[in-house]
Amino acid sequence: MIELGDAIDLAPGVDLVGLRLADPIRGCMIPLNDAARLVVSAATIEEAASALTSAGASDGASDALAFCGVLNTRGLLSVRIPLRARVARRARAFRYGLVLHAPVRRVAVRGPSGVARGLAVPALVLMLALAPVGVVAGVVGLAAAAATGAGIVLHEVGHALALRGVPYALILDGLRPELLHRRLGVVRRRSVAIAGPLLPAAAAVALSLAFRPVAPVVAPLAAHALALSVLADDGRNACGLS
Amino acid sequence: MRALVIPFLLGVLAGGFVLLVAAIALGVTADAAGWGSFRIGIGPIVLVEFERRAASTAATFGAGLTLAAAACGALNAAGAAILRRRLR
Repeated sequence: MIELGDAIDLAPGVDLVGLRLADPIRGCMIPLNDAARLVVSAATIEEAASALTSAGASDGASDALAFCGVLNTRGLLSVRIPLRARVARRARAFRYGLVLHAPVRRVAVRGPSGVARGLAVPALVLMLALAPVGVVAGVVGLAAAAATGAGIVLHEVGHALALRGVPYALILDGLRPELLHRRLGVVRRRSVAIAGPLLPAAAAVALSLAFRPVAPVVAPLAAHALALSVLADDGRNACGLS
Repeated sequence: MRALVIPFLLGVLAGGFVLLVAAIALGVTADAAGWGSFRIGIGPIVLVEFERRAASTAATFGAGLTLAAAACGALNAAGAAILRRRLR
């Protein structure tokens, strides 16, 4: 979805310090070469492309686009696309059967409540996307759609609770959230990985046992427990497979 | 040993949580939708048994739920062992 005219900016919390990118969340300094410094200092991808071309790149535009894409995927660079342009690009691509992904967004959050606030919009979008299914299935279906949205919030809040004392940032890759943090020790990494899926799943079990009629509604929350298996990233992290 | 025990326990937890909530939800749905009596299981091993009587209903969760959760644990441990071998 990224195009030359898009504005770029270092992601929240990331700073350019001399010839290095300082990322306090990852707890590291990333060395930059001259070309990389030209790109991260530019205000738009077009400006970065011109700077690269002036510095001798044979295809500055394509280099700038590719590099900005990589930095954005790693949560180091924000790419700002106005809503109207984003919708137009999606519509244009959709005509050819392509579904474009919005750029990755890194959000600076403070504490589990900050994570919940940061996830409110994606959760709402997910609820609205599932609402038509809910309408067909009746009130229980609508409530299950709401529980599905609440599930992604609870999942990340679970990770955030386990990350107490460790700085983290929320990464939004479309509707898929994750928490970025520095590398942790084996035991801490395992507990953080388990806490995410465990919170919504345990909530579902507790609610189902306490108020049995709500079991069909909270079933989507229980499905988060599947992320404890090696089929999901969290399960693989918990088993030391990543 | 730990490399197998942890995935096994996580698999049991995952399978147990999902199966338990699914079984309760199935019982609630069967009751609300007026379904007749049914039994889900293999031979003597019962997962869920729903019984509709004249004036009441009953849902029974059998030992099959525990066995199924243990099977999930075994599958997860096997999956973890395969992934670990591939990572080497």
